[in-house]
Amino acid sequence: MKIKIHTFLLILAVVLFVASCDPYSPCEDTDGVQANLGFYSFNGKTLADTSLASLKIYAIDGDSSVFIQEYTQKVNKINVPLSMVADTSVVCITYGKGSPDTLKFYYTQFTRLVSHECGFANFYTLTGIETTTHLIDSVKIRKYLVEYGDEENIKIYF
Amino acid sequence: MAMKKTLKYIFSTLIVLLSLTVSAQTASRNGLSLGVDLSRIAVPFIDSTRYGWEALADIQIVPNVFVAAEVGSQTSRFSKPEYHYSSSGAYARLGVDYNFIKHLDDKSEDKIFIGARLGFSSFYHDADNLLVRDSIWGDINPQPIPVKWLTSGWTEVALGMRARLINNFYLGWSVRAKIRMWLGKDERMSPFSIPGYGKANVKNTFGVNYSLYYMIPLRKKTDVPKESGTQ
Repeated sequence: MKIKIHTFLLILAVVLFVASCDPYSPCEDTDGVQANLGFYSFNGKTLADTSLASLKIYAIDGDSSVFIQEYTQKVNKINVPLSMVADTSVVCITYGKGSPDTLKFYYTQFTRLVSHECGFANFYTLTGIETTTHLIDSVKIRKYLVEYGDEENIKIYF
Repeated sequence: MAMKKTLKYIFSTLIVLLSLTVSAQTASRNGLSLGVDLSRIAVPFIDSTRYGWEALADIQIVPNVFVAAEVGSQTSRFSKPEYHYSSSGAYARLGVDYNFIKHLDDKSEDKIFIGARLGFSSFYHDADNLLVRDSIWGDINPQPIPVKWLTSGWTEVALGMRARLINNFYLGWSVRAKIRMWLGKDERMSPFSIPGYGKANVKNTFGVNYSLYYMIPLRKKTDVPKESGTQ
């Protein structure tokens, strides 16, 4: 009888033990760390969100460019990945017609573990930003830390 | 370093239990039980990233109340394309069990118990071969994460049973509900697991022990015969 009890208990213990093991969960992060840029315009009296359509975003690396994202619908904000290879990133925004604008981001960066499922990522602390002024009037850093989430980092005024 | 701390825990625990042995000479079936957790043997076959060992001991201090101590060590290592991770450390738990069944066998110490534990762990972790991917700007290989020592503490509620196998050998199991009380911080990298507790990213978890014990019987307390003619 005792052998049967112990056999049952052994099986139960193994089942409970295996059930208590937690296999790796898949990483749910698909976008990575990106700078969030919001669009605004000033009509002389009030500052308001503004939307633009037919945008194309390019990463400029020396003499070459890499396509990042296209927005065919009107948007009032965009996300831009920053380079981990250097402490500056140059991004070009084309508007469909007219001259494009180029933004240059300056920052420091640090590496942190996001989770054991997702691995490591770089986070950025903005130190400055420059822009051309074809359609853009001016830019302002609102939040210096670039991390996960939708919180706006930079206001772009048109 | 972890091994030295483990040996210190074992030695201290045995000293405490042996001192209780000297005073606990009240029941003929009382004894110091020493055991090993057999489930630790199965762990590497289920999860190849972890291995370790655990030793247990308990002794009855008053009827149906046992002081219990557990010590062990655990190492976790895994490799992913993005980094290689390793951690290792020791742990100890101290607590009490209450046996709530009557003994069925006059010579054995079967029990069904509920108990509580306080757990503590000291461990280190590090990571190297880091890779962060970026399909637009290019990948980088950040500096390795250096060794960082951390500590953690938790409480447990245990429910289990133990029955005699043969002679002074016993088999027992217990399920544990664990609540983490604190965990040291590493800003660059959170730990993967806590030795003796489980996954580090959860504040409560469950565990199972399945252990083989040997009970070292204490001497029977014998009555000293009265001498005739004396009071």
